[in-house]
Amino acid sequence: MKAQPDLSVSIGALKLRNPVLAASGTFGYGSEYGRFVNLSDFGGIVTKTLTPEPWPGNPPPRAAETAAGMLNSIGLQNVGVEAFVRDKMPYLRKMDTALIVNVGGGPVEEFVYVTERLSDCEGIDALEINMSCPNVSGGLDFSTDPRRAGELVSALRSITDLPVIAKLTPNVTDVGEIARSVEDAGADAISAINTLRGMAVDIRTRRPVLGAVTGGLSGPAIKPVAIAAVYRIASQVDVPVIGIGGIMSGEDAVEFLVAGATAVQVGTANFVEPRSGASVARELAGWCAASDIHSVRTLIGSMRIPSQEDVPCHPL
Amino acid sequence: MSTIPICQYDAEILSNRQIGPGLYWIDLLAPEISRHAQPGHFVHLIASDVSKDSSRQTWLRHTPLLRRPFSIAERDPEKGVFGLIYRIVGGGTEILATRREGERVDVLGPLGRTFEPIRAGRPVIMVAGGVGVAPFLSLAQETVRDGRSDPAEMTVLFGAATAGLLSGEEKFRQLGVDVKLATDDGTTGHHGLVTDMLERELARSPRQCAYLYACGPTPMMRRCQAIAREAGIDGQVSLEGIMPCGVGVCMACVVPCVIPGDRSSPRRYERVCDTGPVFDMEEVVL
Ligand SMILES: Cc1cc2nc3c(=O)[nH]c(=O)nc-3n(C[C@H](O)[C@H](O)[C@H](O)COP(=O)(O)OP(=O)(O)OC[C@H]3O[C@@H](n4cnc5c(N)ncnc54)[C@H](O)[C@@H]3O)c2cc1C
Ligand SMILES: Cc1cc2nc3c(=O)[nH]c(=O)nc-3n(C[C@H](O)[C@H](O)[C@H](O)COP(=O)(O)O)c2cc1C
Ligand code: FES
Repeated sequence: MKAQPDLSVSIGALKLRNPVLAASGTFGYGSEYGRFVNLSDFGGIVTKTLTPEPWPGNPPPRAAETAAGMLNSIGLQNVGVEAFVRDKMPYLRKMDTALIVNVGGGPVEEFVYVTERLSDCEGIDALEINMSCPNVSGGLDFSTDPRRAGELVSALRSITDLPVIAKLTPNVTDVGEIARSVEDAGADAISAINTLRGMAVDIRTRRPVLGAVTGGLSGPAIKPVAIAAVYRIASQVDVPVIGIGGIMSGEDAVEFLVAGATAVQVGTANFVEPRSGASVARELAGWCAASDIHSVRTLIGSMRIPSQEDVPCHPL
Repeated sequence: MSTIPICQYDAEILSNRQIGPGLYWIDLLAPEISRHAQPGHFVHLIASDVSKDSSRQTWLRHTPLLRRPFSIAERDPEKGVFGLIYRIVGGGTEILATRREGERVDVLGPLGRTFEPIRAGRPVIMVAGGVGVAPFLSLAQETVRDGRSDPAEMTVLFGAATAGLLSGEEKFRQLGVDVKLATDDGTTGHHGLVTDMLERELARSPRQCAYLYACGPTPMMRRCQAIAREAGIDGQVSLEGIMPCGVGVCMACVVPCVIPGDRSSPRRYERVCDTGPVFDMEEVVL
């Protein structure tokens, strides 16, 4: 029998037992799926975006299925940072996997407030900054403007010792530019992508399907967009990249690693198969074993770009 | 969040048969779900065949992508079976109807909050619209099976577009529960709305109803709310919502709620899958 491949990876100082994380907003606060899913199958869990106060969210309907994907317009409904620390942390602290807490807000001061409150809280391994929510007004502002993206990250970098992961939107002309700016501002890692802005229309009523009119697209439909974003970011920065978008299988995860990701997050697939984390990690291990790869780390950024001479080109 | 364990099963299809125009009944073998389910619970299932022995990519096996929620209509805990009634309205239900005996369906359940039990000495009316009858089949069946109340103290008012869609009606009669029918096209029973029938029943014998349950299209439930309020009767509604996760994590399936009895209180969004699908009549804004 072959030796088990080594799945462990590091995001800066943060060591993960495997590179598969649960994405923010698709895994609640851990305890819901924890009732029937083994959380230690994941390399880590990223919790729902927190704001300073409980946030009511957008009017329903808040979701719609689309071709190989879904739209959501939750609008960051969450319990607020205080209730999170009081009610959710006791469970999360006991969990046998890395805990990454996702931080949100409107103005910079709100991100600062949440970050400060979480920085004194024991049991958190890293913070992910949601600079890219398409579902709240101004939610995208921070990750569509390189200057503001940098300002937000440096404001948070200076007040916390926890690793800071900047989560970016693909809704920009060049995500590489934003990535450079958050790296310069001190981000320890970059995760990409958040959902893509999307919309669906009910042609019978001629109304938007979502109560908030537009929403964010996720699921297998966005995977190629995510791969391109990860590839671009990895070519522009030295910090680790966490790839997100449409992952449902171990082979999907391999694709992200080869394109430059150090770890991945599984989002929408959790709704379909709550044990997605386990199956993606297991399939990744199986794929490595079958391909004689002893450590997943050797896959990271291992893409072979054919040189122009190698590409056969037949004039029409 | 309820404390009943959530189970995920590769449930075997024991039967999947047409019972009316575009209307189906499916029996699934899932002992743990069958054992724990209570009236009002639902399951979240994958309609398509996702068995791993196909070489299709994961995402392609999962078309449509998301699970679909269905109320448990009947269960036999001894045999480990539960039944669902479903109507074809789109791709997911259409695929479900093609699934054959012996194949497997991935089900998650039992999920959600259940109905307030029926008690002896407190007569109830259940108002069902179309496939909204499903949870009431289970409520009536379990109440009679446990001897918690006399079938004579239960009335079902069951409405649908046409007679063929009133399938399930005979199950109430077998239990000895009175059922009155309404159809939009007049093919059987009262020609018109089931809620008109409710008003008439309440006017005729107000003491026949101390508690009201309703499940069906939103306009029907909204009307039931108004009628119950007017008559001063408490009750519950079982709601639908678009449910990506079904277990309370995604916050998509919400409905606006108020403090019962205070319709001007600030609204908050509650999850239909987790706080519901059963809500107190006066709690939800429909
Ligand atoms: C708690 C709960 C219990 C339910 N119980 C039953 C039941 O016992 N029997 C039954 O036939 N149906 C039931 N439904 C509705 C059922 O889930 C939908 O009809 C089904 O998901 C439609 O899937 P589809 O792929 O065929 O249609 P789609 O192509 O997804 O949609 C077709 C139409 O149905 C609407 N729709 C889609 N999903 C839902 C949904 N979750 N709720 C309401 N409307 C929806 C869409 O907006 C669209 O108009 C229940 C829903 C909920 C939330
Ligand atoms: C219902 C839903 C809610 C989400 N909520 C958040 C959120 O609160 N914060 C955040 O940073 N991302 C949120 N996301 C985005 C995901 O974390 C992820 O970036 C995106 O869905 C792409 O991955 P996927 O295709 O695997 O789902 C949400 C996604 C969905 C589908
Ligand atoms: S369906 Fe996800 S919270 Fe209800």
